[in-house]
Amino acid sequence: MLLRPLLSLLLTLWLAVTLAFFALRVLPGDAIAAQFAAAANPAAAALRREQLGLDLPLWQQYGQYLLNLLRGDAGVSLYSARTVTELIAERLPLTLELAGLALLLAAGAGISAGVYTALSRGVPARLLRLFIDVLFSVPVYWTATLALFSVGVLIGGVQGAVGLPALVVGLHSAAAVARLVRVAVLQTAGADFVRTARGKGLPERLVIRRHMLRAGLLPVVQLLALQSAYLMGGAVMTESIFQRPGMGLLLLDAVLARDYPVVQGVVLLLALLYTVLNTAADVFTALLDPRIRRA
Amino acid sequence: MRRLLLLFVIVVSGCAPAADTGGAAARRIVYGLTLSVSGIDPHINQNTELGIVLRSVYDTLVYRDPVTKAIVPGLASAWTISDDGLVYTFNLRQDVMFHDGTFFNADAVAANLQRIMNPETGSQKARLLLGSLASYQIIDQYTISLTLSAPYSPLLDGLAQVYTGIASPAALGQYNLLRYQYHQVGTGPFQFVEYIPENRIVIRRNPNYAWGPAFYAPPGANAVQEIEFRFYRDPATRAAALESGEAQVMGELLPADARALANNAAFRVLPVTVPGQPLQFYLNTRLAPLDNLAVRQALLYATNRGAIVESVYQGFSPVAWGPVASSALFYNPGVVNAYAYNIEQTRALLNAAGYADNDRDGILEREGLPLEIRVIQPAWGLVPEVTQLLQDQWRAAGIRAIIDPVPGFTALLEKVTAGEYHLVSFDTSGIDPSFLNARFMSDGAVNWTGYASAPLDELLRAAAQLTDPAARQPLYSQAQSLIMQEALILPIREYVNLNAHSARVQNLLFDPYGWFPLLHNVTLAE
Repeated sequence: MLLRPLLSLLLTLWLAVTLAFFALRVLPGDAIAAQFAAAANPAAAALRREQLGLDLPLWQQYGQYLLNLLRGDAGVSLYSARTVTELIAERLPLTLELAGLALLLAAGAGISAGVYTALSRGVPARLLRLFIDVLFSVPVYWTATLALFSVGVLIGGVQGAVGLPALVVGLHSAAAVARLVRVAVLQTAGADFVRTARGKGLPERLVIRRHMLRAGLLPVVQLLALQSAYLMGGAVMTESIFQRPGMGLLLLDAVLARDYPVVQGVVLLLALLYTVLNTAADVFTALLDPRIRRA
Repeated sequence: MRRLLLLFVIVVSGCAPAADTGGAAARRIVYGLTLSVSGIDPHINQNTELGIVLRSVYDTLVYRDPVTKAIVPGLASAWTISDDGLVYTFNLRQDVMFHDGTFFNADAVAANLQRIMNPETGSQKARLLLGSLASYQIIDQYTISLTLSAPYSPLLDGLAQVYTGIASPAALGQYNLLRYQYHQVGTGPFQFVEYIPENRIVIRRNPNYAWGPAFYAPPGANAVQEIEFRFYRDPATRAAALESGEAQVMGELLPADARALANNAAFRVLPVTVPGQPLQFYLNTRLAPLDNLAVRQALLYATNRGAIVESVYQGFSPVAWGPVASSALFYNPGVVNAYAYNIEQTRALLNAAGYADNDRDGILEREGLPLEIRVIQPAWGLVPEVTQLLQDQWRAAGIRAIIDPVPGFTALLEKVTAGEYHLVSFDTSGIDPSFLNARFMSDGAVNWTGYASAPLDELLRAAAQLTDPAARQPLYSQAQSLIMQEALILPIREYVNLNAHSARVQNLLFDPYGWFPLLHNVTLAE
């Protein structure tokens, strides 16, 4: 029963790695050329390429790469000569920290704001809805640049800190969550089971928590899983704006420098995370929804 | 809701700047670097950032005096050069100890030369600095001679740079080529503490340092004890880090930020000229219409460099007129005002070359082809701002500039290799103008002008071999004149590194190469 998802996971990863392997190599030049260009030292560059096996035919490099990968060896950076696993191990925590904090904020603020805007008809709730809609509509890089600019000028020294990027990215995800929660709560508000719950005299607090939220949360869990995948993938943008040296910045630098092994390693990891998170979302949905579980 | 608020507070407080740790007891400063680097092994890597840190961790056999720029004793107390310029013999100091407690001697120098010359090391810069060095002989415990395969007068210049800094052979033996950069051991005024990639490099004062070059004074009472280097890749964040107190010294500020800091009594702006080649565009003489000298000259006349320096660099940089900056050796002042802005001259040259605006679209053409110049534009050094102005200035002269932006050096190299460019911007730093050879000799590895002429080759070859400065001077003067007569480059501005520091930091001095601070005498006031 687990065979099918596992096979599809492996296929996805193989495709991602293969694409990354060939896409960059279509272009001429590599990180080595740039390092030794000014040194006027073609012999040194050639020796370095030979050491790294870059002088071999492409299919041979590809085969060797896959074999090494199966042994857990993701290769060596052409730029810094450090191993790809070491580089990723160093950068991944920074990305996870940012994505984790942002996700916490997205879930906490998003669900609260969603319920609040669904149930309250006051002016503050309307203003909040407007704010959520604006946040939902503008691109992250716009908010990020604005936040970086204003906070940077006010307090300064925000480079590398996790607070501001987590706040910006988290609020964006929160806006998406809040919109979904609001709709879900409004939809369930008129549902039969909610009327029944009220009818049997349950306090409103419990009606919301036990019945409306539980039913409304289904799509939210899906969305949060997608958001976390998006947060990992979107790290390239947020990390380059906030100059936070996580995986995203690692990937960006590696692409610019044509540092193939690093690009391949990061793409592989991102593909893995993406696929696993999506599968996890399906599993959670099944746990929360008795109908799917039974089916 | 309360929990949410708490989360908010936690998240936002993460933004608060780190507390200023430069207390009286610690005497610690944070020094902002710019790029994050591929590695910081001076014998292997070529970046400038490593030199900013390690100039104070290593001593070199010789130094350049920061004031006179002359070569002065370092780890070598004296040296002689054979009459044929092939053998350099160094007498070494006998009182020098590495940070790991081992002693410095001729064997140590040999081990370092061996490491740099070994092809397995993959040296990107240090090997080049040693030029035609072929072998070395240990004469006695404190004497070593270096033998060249051909005369190469910039050898002492190379041995004065941190990239040939002398490391402890014990440490070199203990760690492999990849790991040594995390455990560096030199003899300099500061010892290496740690390097955490993308994060920080820390160095701490070496209490035993007593063999420094003559220009170092003994450290004062307020001398800085520990320095943490951090990376600030985004130029816009650099001034903010200074102002918030997160860093006390910062390099490569944006000109506008430097202007603002100059008006703030809490900071000192310290512009340092970096000798070498100015920021310039190489003109590709292989691609029409730049194979025509008149068109190349017309481009130079059409460029208002004063306006560019004023608006892009806020007046912080001198206008450059030739291939060698005025702060480098053997600069030829005869190039000043060559091709000064003169749009009438541009029109006259282009008309004589057969260009006219027959279709009245504002752009000149010849034989039906508009005068279009393709410019490779790297993203660094404010080059995009410069090309923007070039585009406007040239349009006024009837020339259309087509900008070809590249995100990084790898992409730039690819475009250059493909050859489909008219102009490409680049600059090199260095004091000895032998840096011209790779750029302007017909077989030079980075000859991006494509120019090939026997007279220029001969001038540059001979000038790099002669050891007598008086003999080198006229050759380099002629080479600079020739490069400008042929209009091979469009020089824009001399490179100036805009440093700034807290007013509490004093005695910050830079070596003559411009990039590298001499940190031994830096103090931090109460």
